[in-house]
Amino acid sequence: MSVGTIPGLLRAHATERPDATFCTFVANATSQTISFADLERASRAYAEAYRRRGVGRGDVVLVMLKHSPHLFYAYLGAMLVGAIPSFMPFPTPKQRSDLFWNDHRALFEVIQPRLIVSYDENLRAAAAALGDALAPTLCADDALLREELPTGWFGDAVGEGEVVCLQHSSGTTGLKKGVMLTNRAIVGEVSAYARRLGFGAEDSIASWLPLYHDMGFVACFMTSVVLGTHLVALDPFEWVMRPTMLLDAIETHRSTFAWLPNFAFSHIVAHARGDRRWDLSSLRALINCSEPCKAHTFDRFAARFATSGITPEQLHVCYAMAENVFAVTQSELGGGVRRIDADPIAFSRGRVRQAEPGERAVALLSCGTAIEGVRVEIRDESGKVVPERAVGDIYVGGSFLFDGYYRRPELTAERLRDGWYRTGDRGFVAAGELFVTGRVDDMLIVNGRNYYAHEVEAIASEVAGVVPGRVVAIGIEDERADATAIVVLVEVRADAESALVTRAVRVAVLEALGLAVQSVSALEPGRLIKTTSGKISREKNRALYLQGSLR
Amino acid sequence: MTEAEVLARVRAVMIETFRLTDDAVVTRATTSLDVDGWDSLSHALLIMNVEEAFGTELPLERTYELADVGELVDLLRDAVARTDVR
Repeated sequence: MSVGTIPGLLRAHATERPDATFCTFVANATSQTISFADLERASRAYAEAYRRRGVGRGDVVLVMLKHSPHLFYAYLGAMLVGAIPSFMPFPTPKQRSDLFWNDHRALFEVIQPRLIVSYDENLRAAAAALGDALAPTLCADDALLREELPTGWFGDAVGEGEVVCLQHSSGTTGLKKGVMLTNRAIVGEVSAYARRLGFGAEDSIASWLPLYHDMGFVACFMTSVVLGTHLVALDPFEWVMRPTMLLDAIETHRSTFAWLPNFAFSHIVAHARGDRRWDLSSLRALINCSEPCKAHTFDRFAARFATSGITPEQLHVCYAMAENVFAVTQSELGGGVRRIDADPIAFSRGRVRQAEPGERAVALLSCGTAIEGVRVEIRDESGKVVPERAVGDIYVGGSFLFDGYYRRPELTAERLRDGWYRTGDRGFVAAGELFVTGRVDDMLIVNGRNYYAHEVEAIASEVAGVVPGRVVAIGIEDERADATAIVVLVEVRADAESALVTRAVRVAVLEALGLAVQSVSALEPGRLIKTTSGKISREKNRALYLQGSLR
Repeated sequence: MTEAEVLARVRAVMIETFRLTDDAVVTRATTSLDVDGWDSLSHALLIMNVEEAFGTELPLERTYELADVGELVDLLRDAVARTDVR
């Protein structure tokens, strides 16, 4: 069945409804309106710039830009010429740019980018760090948009089954994997998810999300391009400082949907001081995604914004991943999200039993049922499907799966077998609804970004004064911020000054990963607990830390 | 307001925002690396709290990249001076 191509859909919107607004782009307290005709023209300008540089079919184009409409144009322009674009994060002010770029060396060797689109300052730093190892670059400049364009259209060449982009959203740079997505998978998932949500031509999205993350890229940007709907795009950096600007945007533009990770709900509540109200009555759903979703976060959000028109029925949950384009499951709109108060003892043994009223319980939030075209299975370690309410590994199959990791066949074979993707998440199904309970590996999700404990440990281990290898990075719940925080436990050599070492560990992790660890505990040599096999145990040391004995 | 007065008030807001002990040492040279839990989200909370404490609004673009407490103190003194003139 033909689903249409992304360039074809872009052209159709620009031809049939040229003046319809694709995006209200908000930056520095000013708004710019981008119509579908504007979007198409500017994307073609990029396509022309690529063609002149010999960039075409199958070439990887990395788009590494701050909040700017050029993000959309550079990306779609690459799709128009049959190239394979990928959004990539740019260095944050706290990251050291030489470390940032050196960290990209290994990734570039694998993916061999044909062109990097970025801004001047970033490209200068890249050239200084990488020299000849850097791919050709293109500076995103408004002058590029003003050039004369040939009249011919060249977006028709892309086949529906072709890989049209890479998603590099998981892990820090050295471990990044390029998730290959076909045109058919993207358009198919966006359409199926829209049907599930009842998302129609009148709906619109408000977003502060960065586009290098699948939630910003697919749920917001691709949805608006494929369906021809309105997107309000806020600057992620501005949003962090003034999170209630999302509510301002929803009120002003009468937006009907927004996707946000769990921490964002709490961040907004923390900044909504006094009894200020917003008119949020246009909202059909605020969808919690990309981090473990918590019942108490929803309760606090609903309580704070009840006078703004928010009801618990508008707060929803989605389970999503780039390897399935985006949504796997979604809670049913129209009602509240199902919750299970699980007996903690049974739960710790991998079984889910409803706690008796008044008993201590673990509150679990449903992620809903699979969207059309997607299948979910829970399996045990041997690969056998387990019964309902038994915790196991989550596998995803169906029509929207990725085509593998770009130029990483061994990694692809590990995770993608017989049409099923092993997600690395743990969970269970109850009455057909998926509940996600944790991770198989050491991935830690901090403010919507994924980090691996072993990466943080490797960086800390290199710091002078730390006993090499005697380091543990753990994730703890920061109840006040309602977010996961990283704590690093390090054994410090007897001849080193603890205060200097702990500070140096913070600096090293921040400069290398852009990650602010919440605290660093300096311990005497020998304090960290090993497993019977001689490895340092994250789990046991985490338990000791939480008891207060490793601080 | 003198620099010392601004610093003292910023210190009080930091103690509240980051739940520091009452004897926490905060100087102009203090940075996010010296304070447990000072990340980009709590930084936003700190800025909102100092704005409330000083009854002023800081220019958004200047608040992202403050290198240390000293720069925050200078930014606040400028903002308070502007507010007084108005």
